[in-house]
Order: sequence, then C-alpha cells, then structure tokens
Amino acid sequence: MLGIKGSQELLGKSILTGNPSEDLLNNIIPGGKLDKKKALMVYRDDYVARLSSVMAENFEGTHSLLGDEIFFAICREYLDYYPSTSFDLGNYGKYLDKFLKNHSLGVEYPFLPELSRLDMEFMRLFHLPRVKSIDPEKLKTHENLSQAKFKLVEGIYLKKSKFPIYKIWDLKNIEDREDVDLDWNEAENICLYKGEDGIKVQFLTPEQVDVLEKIKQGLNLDQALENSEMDVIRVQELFSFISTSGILVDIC
Amino acid sequence: MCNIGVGLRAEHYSYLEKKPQTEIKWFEVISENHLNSRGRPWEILHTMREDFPLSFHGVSLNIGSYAPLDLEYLKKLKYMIEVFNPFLVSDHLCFTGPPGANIHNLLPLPYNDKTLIHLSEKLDQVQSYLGRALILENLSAYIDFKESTYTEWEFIKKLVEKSGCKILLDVNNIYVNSVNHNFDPKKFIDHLPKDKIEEIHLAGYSDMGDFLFDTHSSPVFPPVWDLFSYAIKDLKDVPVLIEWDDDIPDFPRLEEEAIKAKTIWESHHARD
Repeated sequence: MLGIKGSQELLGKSILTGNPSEDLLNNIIPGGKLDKKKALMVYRDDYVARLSSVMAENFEGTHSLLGDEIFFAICREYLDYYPSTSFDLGNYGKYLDKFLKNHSLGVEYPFLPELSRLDMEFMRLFHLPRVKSIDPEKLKTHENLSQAKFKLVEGIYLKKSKFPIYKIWDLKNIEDREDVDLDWNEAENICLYKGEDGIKVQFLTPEQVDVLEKIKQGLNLDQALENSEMDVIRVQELFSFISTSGILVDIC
Repeated sequence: MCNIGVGLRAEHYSYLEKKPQTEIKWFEVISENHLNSRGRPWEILHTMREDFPLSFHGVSLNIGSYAPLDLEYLKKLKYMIEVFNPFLVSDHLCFTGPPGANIHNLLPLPYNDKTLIHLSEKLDQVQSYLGRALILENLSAYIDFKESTYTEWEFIKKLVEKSGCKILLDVNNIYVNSVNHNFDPKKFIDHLPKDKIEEIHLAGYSDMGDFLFDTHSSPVFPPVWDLFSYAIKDLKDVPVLIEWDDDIPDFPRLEEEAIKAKTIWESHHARD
C-alpha cells in the first residue's frame, strides 16, 4: 500500500524523471491496452510536451531563431533541471538565460542568454497593467525639473548589449531571413517599455541607458546626469523620450 | 433554455473584443491564466464581464495533494472571484504534483476511505475560505491504483455527501475512462446525485490506438454526444460547456459545436 503521500511522491517522481519505481509499478493498474510503464509514460510525455509548448510561447524569439529541433531539445534539458514549481505557466522558463550561459549552445552563441532574457522581459511586460502617463500640463508647469524625481512605469527593461539583441529577437517577424542584412556583432542599447499603447522598444546610446537607469532608481535629473558625458542633444533626446513615450507616470 | 458556454481562449480575444453576435451565453476562464496577470489576460476579463457571466475553472488548486493548501494561490483566486463575481468556481478531483513541483496535469488519487477523509478536510478549508461550494470535475486517468476500494463514481458520490462540494460532470472524461478502464459509462452517470451536478463539460479526445487520450483537440465525438444526450435527460438547468484547447478553431466553429449541444438539449427539454 502506497497511501496518499506515497502514491503522490512516486507518481510525481515518475513523471518528472521518466523513471517509475518498482513500488509504483506494483501498485497501479494501467488503462487501455497499455502496459504499466507505457501508461505512466502517457503522463511523462504529456508533461514534457506541455511545458515545451509553454516555453515556445514564452520564448518566441529564442524558439524562432533556434528552430523546433534545437529549441525543444533545450526545453527537455531545461525542464529536467528546473521543474515547474508554480501554477503560473507565464513565468515558466525564467531561468533559461542562466541555464543557457552554462550550456554549450550558449557558449557557442553568446547572445542566446540575452535573447532568452529579452523574451522573458516581454512576457513580464505583457502581464503588467497599462498605466496612464503623466498629464503633460504637470510636466510643462513644473518649476524645477532638474531637481525633480521622475516616477517611471514598472514596465521598463534597459539593456546594453554587445549584440543586436532586439534585431535578433525581431527576426521572428520576418519570413525571408536570407534578405536580412544583420551585423551580429553590432552593439545595441535598448529600452523596452510598456506604455499606455502597449509594448515598444526605443534604441538609445549607452550613456542614455545609464542615465535612464539612474532615473529609474530614483535619482533626480541633476544627479542622474552627474559625471555623464552626454552632450546637450543626447540629453534633449532622452528627455523627449521620457516625456512623450508614456513611461513617465509622475514627477515630484 | 439551454445555457451553453465555451472556454475563453487567447486565440479568440481579438474576435471577441469586437463584441460579435453570438449564441454563447457564458464563458469559462482558466483561473491560472489570469491570476498573476494584470495585462491583457486580466483586461479581457473586464471586457467579457460587461456582457457575459463568467465561470472560473482551476487546474492547480491541487486539492488532493497530501501537502497543505497553497494559501497564496487561494488568496489570489479569492481576489479574482471578488473582482469578477463568477457564477461558478470549479477545479478537479486530483492532485497536480508533489510538494515543490507543479506537473500541470490532473493526476489521479486512490479512491478509498483515507482519500475521502483527506479530501473532505481539504474541501472544508477551501469552501470556508472562499465562502462558497466548490465544484469538482471528474478526470480522465490512464492508471488506477490497486488500493482503490471504490469505483470513481462511488467515490464522487461519497465525497459530495461528506463535503458538500458539487459536481462538474465531464462527459468526455467519463467516456474516455469507460473505454480505458472498461466500464459502462451510463452506470457512472446513473450513480451520481443529479441535484449536485452544477455543470457539464464536453470535449474531443484522441484515439491513440492503445488508449483514448483526453486532448481537447477535436470536435466532440458521436459516442460522447450520445452519452451527453443520456445524461441530460434528467438535468434541465445545468450549464453546458464545450472545451477545445489544442488545434483551436476559429470562434464560429467553436460556437457551432456549442449549438450542437443546445440542439440535443432542446430535443429533451424544449417542451418543458
């Protein structure tokens, strides 16, 4: 007799590993014309297929770039390493970037961890609410902007990359990739954000990313610009982006 | 009037946001797809709730687990119930993984007195916390446990008597199990207390050769329609839902399937 705890632990382990114990096999009756091991494999196979399919949805860019065969092989390795622990499938695969960093594929293609992180950030932003941006009048009439603290939306992801990470991610939307002239070693600096109109991306300079990161952390404009080598035009560009993109929620 | 519903799926959001004319009277929401989101999956519930009743159908309550209930999950579910006021809240008579893992599948339990007591205690906690009766669905299973001392239908009847929970009768699951485990599906239906059945599910299965697989990836098959027809003879006001989760067709095709259910229902109850 396995009891409730025993049956659940053994069945769970059988599904997670694909290796049922003798104890479990001795205590079940298979359905259909299946033998015991095949009946248990129905659950194991379903688990692998379900979570792989979830990962394909959560990592559209990575999946698209790698193709089914390589991507699903990675999924199988990943899910043995990181079984799902939450009811929330939208979050499954959150360690894929870390996993890929130590994977031979990630070593061979060093942009892969960053690409999978970008996928996950898209998912994070997708599940955040759309937030109303600041009333432009409040911004116009503020008396001391340089000392002001800017409250930004939660849905911001800033990334300075050695690779054209967003352009690689965006390949998923392009049917004929052979026509795409992509310099795989072109550095890219982005702000991925969710404003009132949905998820968008803004290309920035590395200095603009640094300053925006400081503003995001709560520094006022003067503090954020301290030691920055940005010229006036770049500062104006960044300020224009902050004030018109919808990422600015409040100012105080 | 037959109260037909379908599962709300992301593939249909854009279509439904245009508020098309439809025969569908209500939508079932997979709770877990919305619990942690405040983005589009959450926004769509507000949109749909303007025009339709919603039911919440869970797949991760894990009521059968030997581990304690996940209170964080329940807290989120309760909040979602408060916001959207669903007319039904259901989950499955199963466990979904050992502590520390969620297998995202509906896994069977041994049907015996120990499980009965265990489930009743868990149900008492959930129903007290949510302040409403929980509706539990019978599942498709590909194994049985030798230590089961009750049939599935005997077990469900006893659980309903002991815990006060209600039944979500999945007719496709009954049929799939009847083939896989070799029993008369009508016996299953006859044995259940009809006044405790709060909802019916219909779906398609896949014939894998060695067994039937509950895949929700096709139209409802004729033997399941026949069993549905048998089941609803004595069930007049039970909401009926079409589930279609893989190879999801466009909404009008899904609606057609629901209308078939309505037609069968009307053949029994049109003059009532």
